[in-house]
Amino acid sequence: MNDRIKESLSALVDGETDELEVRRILNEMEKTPELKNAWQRYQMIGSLMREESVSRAQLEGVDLSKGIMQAIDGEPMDEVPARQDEVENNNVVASRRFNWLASGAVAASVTLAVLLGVRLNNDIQQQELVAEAQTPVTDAQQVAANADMTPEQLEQAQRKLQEYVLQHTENAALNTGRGMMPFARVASFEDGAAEASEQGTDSEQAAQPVEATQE
Amino acid sequence: MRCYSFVALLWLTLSASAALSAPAAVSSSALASTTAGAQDTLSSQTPADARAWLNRMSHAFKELDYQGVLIYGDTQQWETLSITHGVMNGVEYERLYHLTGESREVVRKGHDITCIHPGEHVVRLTQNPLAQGFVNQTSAIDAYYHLSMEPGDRIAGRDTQQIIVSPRDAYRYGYRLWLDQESGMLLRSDLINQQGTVLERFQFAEIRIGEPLAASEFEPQSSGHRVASHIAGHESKSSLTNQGWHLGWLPRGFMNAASQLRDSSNPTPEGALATLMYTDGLAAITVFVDDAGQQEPMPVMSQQWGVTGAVVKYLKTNDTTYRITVVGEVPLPTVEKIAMSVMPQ
Repeated sequence: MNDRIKESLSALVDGETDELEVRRILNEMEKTPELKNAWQRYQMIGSLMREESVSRAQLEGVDLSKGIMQAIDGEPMDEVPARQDEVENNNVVASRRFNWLASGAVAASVTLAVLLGVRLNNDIQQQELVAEAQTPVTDAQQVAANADMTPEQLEQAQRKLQEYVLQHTENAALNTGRGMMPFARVASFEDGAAEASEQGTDSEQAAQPVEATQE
Repeated sequence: MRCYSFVALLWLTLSASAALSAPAAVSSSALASTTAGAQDTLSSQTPADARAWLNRMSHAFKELDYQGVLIYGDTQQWETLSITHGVMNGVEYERLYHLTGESREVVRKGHDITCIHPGEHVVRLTQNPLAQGFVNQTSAIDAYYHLSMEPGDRIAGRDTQQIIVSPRDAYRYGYRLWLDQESGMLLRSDLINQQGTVLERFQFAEIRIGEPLAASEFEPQSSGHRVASHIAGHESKSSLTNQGWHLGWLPRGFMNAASQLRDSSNPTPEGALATLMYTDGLAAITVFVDDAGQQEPMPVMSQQWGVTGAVVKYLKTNDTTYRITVVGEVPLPTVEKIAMSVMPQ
């Protein structure tokens, strides 16, 4: 692994890379497993320096490269490659707004932060927060994410979230003194929800009510 | 005072870059005679006046009969909706109908909200237990927002007063509100981030205010679609306290508007274990707590679309893992920070 790619990798971890650079690193990563390991190490070091509690297991479970590539190519992120054929059949583009990544135009560094929902790049505010939040239950802790998910699990999690967003909108409509205006926001949520339901019929798991499978 | 200069900068940036509207000095001077207590000059307008306008606005929303066409846009798309609101026999009726895209509609009678969607999925009929009415916090609002007044433009054929609401911290968004001179009704609302970018806009294209409406105006009109409804969220023993859950951190000024705890003895659990709702009078935040059970894996999520931010996190206590979901029209770091601070009591 040459020094230049190491440098690029380090820049990527710090979110200081442009899109071209990201592509280059990812291509490189495909070829060299060594580079992939280095990436994980760098992430780890970066996290430690920022005093985040990101476990090694968490990092190892995530194959970030595929996702980043998809993201900068503007492909929908809630589909994993195994379901690629279905993506082409469904018109996902129209309702991409509610997908995991809103748009391919997102700067690569931002993309990285929201990728798979794993916030490896937590902002500083969270650090003060840890100190600020006094824990009444002694061993309560934030659980690290396992982002190694099947498409069904991902979809299910997203549908649950959409449901809550709708519920929140309802609360907002009734409590913030601007009538039903907040419901105007809902159209875009529902595009996503409708899409999720359609895809849900493809898999037996997702066809079940969300609550039932989670209890 | 740092705050002041920041605010000035923000609005400068906004007016320079957005070029949203030409100054409407003409309409504002013409209106001075029609408005009770109208100000002679801009400099005599105080935050108290702006506060009074906000108060008028929230009353107008609840009390007036109005019917109009509303345009909603964010950074990605525009939607057009028809909106009808009326008060009959002391009960508020409201109907929102999408004129673009699929023909979804939302009908409200009192605190009952029905969402009707085309197709056979997602139909909800809810009696929202969190409907406590508008939390009237306009008296304290200038502790966390800086309020000022600007001449308004003509919107939907009506003259307006513009109220500028700038946050005093980075935890919330700012607003520019155009209120009907005559009724105080909100005719246009821009939501603005710290960089001065407009993230979302509501604007009436047309509105009729004060014309009596018939009950038939509020009938769902989604004919040709199968409309199936079920009642959700009817918890017989919902306790309206936030006992059991505690937020270690909230931005200043956010008050608990309503809370709901699910009855743990309920054999068919539906909805979150706890739902806590907060508002600072302009923005709303809802916290949902669920038992994550043995669920594997646990996807931590952090998402933003339009102005709505949502975060999903997990909290492990002695014997249970909880899923914490926070949703709100505030910047994502605020949502994150709140989610991190949720603790069992």
